[in-house]
Order: sequence, then C-alpha cells, then structure tokens
Amino acid sequence: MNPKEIVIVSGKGGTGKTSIVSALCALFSKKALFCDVDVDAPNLQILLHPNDEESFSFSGRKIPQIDSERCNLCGKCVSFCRFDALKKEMDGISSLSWKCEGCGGCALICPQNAITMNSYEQGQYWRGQTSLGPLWHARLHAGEENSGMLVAKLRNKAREEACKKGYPFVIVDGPPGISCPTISALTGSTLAIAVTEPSLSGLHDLLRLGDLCSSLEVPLAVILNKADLSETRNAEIQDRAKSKNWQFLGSIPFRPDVVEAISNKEIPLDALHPEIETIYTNLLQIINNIKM
Amino acid sequence: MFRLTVVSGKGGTGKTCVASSLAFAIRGGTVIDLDVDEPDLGLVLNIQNPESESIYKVVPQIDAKRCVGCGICADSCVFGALNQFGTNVPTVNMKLCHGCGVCEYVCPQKTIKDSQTQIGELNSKRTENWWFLEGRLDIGEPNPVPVIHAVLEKANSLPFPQIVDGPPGTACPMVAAIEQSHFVVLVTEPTPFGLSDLVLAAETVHELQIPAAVVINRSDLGNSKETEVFCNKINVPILARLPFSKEVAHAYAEGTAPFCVDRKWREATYTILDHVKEVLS
Amino acid sequence: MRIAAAVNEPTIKSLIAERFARAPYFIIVDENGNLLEAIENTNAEQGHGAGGAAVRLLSKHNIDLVIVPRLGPNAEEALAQAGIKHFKAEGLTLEEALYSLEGKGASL
Repeated sequence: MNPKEIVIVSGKGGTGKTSIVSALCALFSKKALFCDVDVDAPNLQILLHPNDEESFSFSGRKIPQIDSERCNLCGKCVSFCRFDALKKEMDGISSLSWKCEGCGGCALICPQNAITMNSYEQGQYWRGQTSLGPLWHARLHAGEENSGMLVAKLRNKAREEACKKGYPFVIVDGPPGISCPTISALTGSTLAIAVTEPSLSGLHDLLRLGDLCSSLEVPLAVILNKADLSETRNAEIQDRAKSKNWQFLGSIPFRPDVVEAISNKEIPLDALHPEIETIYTNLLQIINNIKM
Repeated sequence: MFRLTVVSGKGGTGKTCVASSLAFAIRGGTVIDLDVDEPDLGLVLNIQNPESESIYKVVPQIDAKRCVGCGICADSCVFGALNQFGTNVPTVNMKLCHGCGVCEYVCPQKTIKDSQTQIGELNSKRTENWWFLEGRLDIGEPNPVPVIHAVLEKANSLPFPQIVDGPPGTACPMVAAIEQSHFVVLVTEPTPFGLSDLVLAAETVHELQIPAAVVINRSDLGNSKETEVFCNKINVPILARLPFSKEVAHAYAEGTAPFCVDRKWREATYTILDHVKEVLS
Repeated sequence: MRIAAAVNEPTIKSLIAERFARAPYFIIVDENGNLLEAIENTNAEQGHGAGGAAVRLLSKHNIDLVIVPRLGPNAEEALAQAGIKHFKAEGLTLEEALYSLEGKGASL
C-alpha cells in the first residue's frame, strides 16, 4: 500500500515549522514514518533524538581533478568554464569546487587528457530509530550544492520503507524557500502544509509558496502560527486561503512555553495543546479524503 | 566603503530585521535583497514601484535544419537536460539546463549556439537615502545562484557602503551571496535550532575567510550559554543581544523595521556598523 | 506491442520499482507477459535528469508503453516527446500490473 506523503513547508523561515512538525510526529506515531529534508540546516533530529542505526554517504556530482604531470598550463579548461571554477596559477590549474557545476566540459576539452571527473562525499544521511518511529535525516556539508538530489533520495528511502512496512503516512519536514530543495521536497507529494505567521513577509512568502504548489499540482493546507501577532494580517491570510481554496487547518497563538520546550530539546506537545490536536484532527479528515 | 551581508543559517532568526535596521542607519549607499526565493526587504523598506528588468541564464539553441539527430549532445549532458529520441532534433529542458556549454562543444555538426531564458527579475529603485536592489527568482526555477550573481554584478557599479539581506541556509545560494562580501553578520537565536544552524553557517564563513560577527536575537527566549561558548571558541564577537519585544514583533508584522521603533535595536545597529568600520580599516 | 517496466529484479514476478528513473532494471515484455529483453539501468546512480536519461535508454529499445510507479515532471515530459505511453502501477508486481492493464482494455 502506498503511503500518503505530507510535506510541511513554510516559504519564510522561522514560522515554527519544525516545532509543529515534531508535535505532529508525536500524534502520528505508529501511523507514520518521518523524514527531515531540510538538509542544509536539519533540526528535527534535535527534538526526536534518533538512535542512528544506518549511515550512508551522499555524492551527487563529480568535480575535476587535474593531473599536474599531464597538464601543460594551456588554460583551455579555464577559458571553457562558464562558472569561474578553474583558476590558472603559477604552478598549475586549481579547481574551486564550490563554484563547479560538474558538467565535465573541462575534462572533454583538455587536449592533454589531464582532467578526470571524480565523485566525492557531499553529505551524509541516516536512518534513525526514535521513540515515535523511524526518522530519515541528512546533512549536506557546508557550502555544497545538489541539495535537491539529497532531498529526493531521502524521500524515496522513507517512502520505500513506509511501503514495505505498511505505514499509511510519511511526514516530511521540508526546507525553506521555493527553489530546488523545496521543489524536490514537494513534487509528487500528497499534501503540502504551509506553516505561516500573520505578518507582511509571512503573507508575501505564503503566496509565492502557493504559486509553487499550484504549478506542481500539490494541494495546499495552511497552519497559522503565532496567530496573535497581528489581527489584520491574521484575517488577511485566512481570507486569501479561502479565495485560493487552500484548506485551513487551524491557528496557534504565540506561546513562550514552546521555546522553553525546544530549548530543553523536547517536543512542545503540551505547549501547543489544545490547538495542535484540533489541527491533527482536521488534517486526518482532509488527508483521508485525498484519493491517491 | 564596504559590503556587509546578513545571513542566518536558520531562517526566521531576524535576518531581514537586522538588514532593514542597518539600511536605516546608513546614508547614501545601496541596500540589496539577495533572499531571491522570498525577497521581503522591500516590504519593510516600503519600496514602491521599482524598475524591473529580466534576469536570464544561458541555454542552448539548436539549429533544427542542420541537426542530424545523432543524439551526442543528449548523451553528453550530465544534467539530463536534452531530450532526444530516434533521429529527432533534441529539445531542451530549461529547468534542468545549467548553461554549461558542453552540448555546444560536442555537437559534430556545430548546430548549437547560446541563447537565453528568463529565470528571475532584478528590481531597482533610487530613493532619497539609497539605491535599492532586489533579486526575485521566478516560481518553479530551481537555481537561485545565477539571480544572485546578476544582482551582485549590478551592485558592483552602485555606491557603497552596501547592506545585503542574504539567503537562508548554508548551501550554495548563501555562499554565492557572501563570497563577494567584506563582512558577514550572523543572526541567531538562543535555541538548539539556532545554535545548530549557526555552527554550520559559521563553518562556511570561516572557509571563505571573511570577517564575521554574531547578533543574538530574542536573546531572552531560550538559553544563550552554549551560543556564547561557541562564539568564544571560534573567536567571533557577539555584537548585540536583543531581547524579545512584543512591540518589535508587532511592528515588524505590519512591515516596520525594528530600528524605527526600538532604542535597543538602534543602539545595536550602530554598534554593528562601528565594529565593521573598525575591523575593515 | 513492446512494454517496458521499471523493476527491482529482471523477472515478471518482480515488484514495480519504487522509482522509475533509478530502477535497477527495465524489462521488456509483450502484452501477454512473454519476456523479450532485460536491460540493466546504467543511469541508476546519475544525478539530475535521470528521468530523461531513462527515457532515452527506453526509446533506443523501441518501447510503446512503460509501466512506472509514479513520474516526475521531467520524465513525464521526456516520455511525451519520445512518444511512449505510460501506465502507473505503484505497489504492484509486473504480473499484476499487466493484468490490470489488460483489464483496462488499455486505450493504447
């Protein structure tokens, strides 16, 4: 049986996504597998405390290695590279790996065949056991690219395991923004949930996220966090949600207790009570009505 | 005369709050929004009706008349951006294409040349106090880095000092934003999330060897001890510890920069600027 | 008709692979389930655009229809261009998928 995949995103950072996701994980325990695809800055494991049982290396692209014995410093590779990822120096050609896109053009063009393209570890991912269920999570090494690919890999591992073991749901803690990592997190998922806040930026970012979900044909639901921040923005967001046909799951007022729980590395389930239970009930109703 | 970039690793720590406050404290420079996925700085600075120009990335154009459908280009594309079947002329998947030029190079018939496709917008406005620049990624475009590069290229011809609101995360968009910067301000919060992401962001900044400082926002919500210990260990000064303020939060929700409503924020902003000038002189 | 399926093992009893583009094998059968060919998917470890590369591989084997678990937008676009139809059969074995395909009368 194919699991239903719920991806929680925010557009704007700092809306309380991971705190809320952790509480949903607690409520979905035994029914769901969990997956943290915010691979640039993963946080869910801080609250779920996984016992990392299996670890894997991630390598998504190849970068050039120059054989200095064969290289005659002609500089054709430097001229070819459109990303300024190769630099000609006194004693040889150096590769600036953080600029390299891995196209392999330099290796093709080198008249001396001095360049080979090699894989390397860009990050790691783990399958961990938590008290609530299995958690797939990852970390991209600082400054790396290909986060979209690592996101896809994690989602697939989680889905595979959920399928095999009969979990009906996969809960995915998504990345911020709307570019490659988020596109990779949302494509083909069953439902996206945006955790937003009633502020000018919150609304602006929610609209862009909404456009992205629409272009990917993923239905969108909304949770309004720190709901008492601004009454006018609160009303504005709820109106927009209605007009765009986004499902409104519920609101949660700002609670300092949530920060306290997080600081103790605990899931803020009590602090989010009773609103989180209402949200959970509404979510189950909506997700059960989505046909796969 | 410097370019200062505000980043955070973790989103939502107050990066745009700090950047907008810095903008209010300078006179006669340029203010830049490089959070091209979700550019919000313009909202807080109340920028109306900016001028807009398109940002493009290079993509290949194939001359269908000369193409013989050999498929060598598609076989050579590591990004899988060329769809070619049978002896048809290949089509380009614009989203996957990185504009590397390999297909152009390997085509035996030399039928491929450079063309371009829009990936975003560069919005600009000259106000009383400064130039404002914003990069905005088109929805559905996967790669923000070319947009960031295009905005910085324009910024190079505009007046200094320059304040940049950077992208969240610690991956290549953040690197693209800070590598052309003279100083980096890292905004964090005293929670385990904030610290975890600060560590990652600080690592990247350190590798690029750019001087940096930290601002702890909402400093009274959580436990800042570990953050203090970490900053001490890596020799990065903490320039301000700003407590949570409902007034600031409400004002920001309505689109007003903290600098405009809170004395502590004003003091912190000037402290940051003074420190940067001192370090860079 | 030549039908390809993204599978975990090159047999008709295999489950349809969880992912089209990175399936370990593609096997080619006729509409009666007779095994015609088995191809190892050399693109399985590729980075971006593995979907397009997988479609390329299939188009070189003259496929009319491919059985897939689900499809990303890049693979879907590539299949449309290659003129190859697709049938989604996530969670089924190839045998079950063929049965299901037959049952649908297959608007081919």
